[in-house]
Amino acid sequence: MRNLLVCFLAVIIAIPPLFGRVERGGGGNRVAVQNHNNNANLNRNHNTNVNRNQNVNVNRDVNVNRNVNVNVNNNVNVHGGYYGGCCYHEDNDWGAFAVGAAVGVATTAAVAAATRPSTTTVVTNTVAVGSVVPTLPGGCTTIANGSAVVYQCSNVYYRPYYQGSTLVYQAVTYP
Amino acid sequence: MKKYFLVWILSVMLGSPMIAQTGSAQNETKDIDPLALRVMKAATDPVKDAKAYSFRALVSRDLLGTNDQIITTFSTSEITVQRPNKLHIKFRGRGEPVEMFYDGSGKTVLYSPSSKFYTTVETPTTIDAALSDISKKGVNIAVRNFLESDPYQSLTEALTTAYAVGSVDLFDEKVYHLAFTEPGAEWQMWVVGGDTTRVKRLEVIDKSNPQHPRISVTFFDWDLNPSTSNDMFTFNKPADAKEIEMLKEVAEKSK
Repeated sequence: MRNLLVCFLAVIIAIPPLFGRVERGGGGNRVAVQNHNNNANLNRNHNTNVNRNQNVNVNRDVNVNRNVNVNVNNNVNVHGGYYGGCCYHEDNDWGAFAVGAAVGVATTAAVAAATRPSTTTVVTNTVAVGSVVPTLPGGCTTIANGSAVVYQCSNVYYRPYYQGSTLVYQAVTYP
Repeated sequence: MKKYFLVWILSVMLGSPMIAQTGSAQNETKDIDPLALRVMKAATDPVKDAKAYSFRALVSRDLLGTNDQIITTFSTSEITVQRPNKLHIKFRGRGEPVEMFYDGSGKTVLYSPSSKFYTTVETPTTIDAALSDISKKGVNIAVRNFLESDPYQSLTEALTTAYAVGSVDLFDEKVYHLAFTEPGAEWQMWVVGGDTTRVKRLEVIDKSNPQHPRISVTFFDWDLNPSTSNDMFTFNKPADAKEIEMLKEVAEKSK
């Protein structure tokens, strides 16, 4: 009996390391990957403004002057985030793709697009509680909540935390 | 009684995933080329022996998406180590720059100079143990092996295989290419030879994950005699700095 126990312990002790020592990272949290077309937090505004001046002057020599001015604004506002995830869906760092930025110039395609009926969708910004972003959107104010720091950004409240070695802001309920 | 004990022993052994994994690990034949170890030791022992050293690391790290897709992230780190127990890192990645202070006094501090937030983690008084502790808090440092007291020991103690692939060009620079495996991972190292042998690049593939995420590190500006002062490793809290929590701890508390 004792021999059996010794044998068992010897087997356990002889087990080689299950994991190596080279740093491989934590691998815990996942990055939210989702089709934002199916996301309740997808806000998309397409505003198409078309100014068209077509002046045609006709004289005996038949001269045609045509000015076509097209301004196309495609505003895409995508909200994302993932509770405990790795914050790669912030809505305030999309450069030329962000809200209010003009995308596109008066190319042939743009002209063609501008001739289509324009649509405007008005939506309300929503950010899921628990969403994590690495930077705050603009226009935030700090509100007092005891010793905790809370930011109010429009109607969304954020608290700062460290996620690993990254400073992040998590959307929270009204404090 | 003996019969029941034997049944229990067998059930533990057969039912344990640890044993099952061990079985596969044991099937991997050890094959260590001493040349590979000599090259690695030549590159890492100067780091171990330096009283202080600094370097920069460009890191790309694969994370897993919620759909199992690989999502690659990028960051840079500026690292200064003073033996035996002082460490300072400047992280630049997503969001604000963050500095990490560790002065061997039993705590590690993360601080964001722009917003003046900081968090304090109680950690042991050796770098090796402190790095182990903060990794449990989610602070995973890709170059961790190179910050420990003996990088060579840290990198080689679990090796299954080690090979010297050959002398190759790494972006117009002659380097020695080494390849290693260990339980759950395979990795490669590229080492610049000559009078100042240094590690130039490291790539680690996590084989324990079915998606095999990868960490790639390119090393720059090795300095084994940097000027340091104790101040740079100690966090001097600005009067208006505010302490915040680690998200991981908050999430665990709420479970």
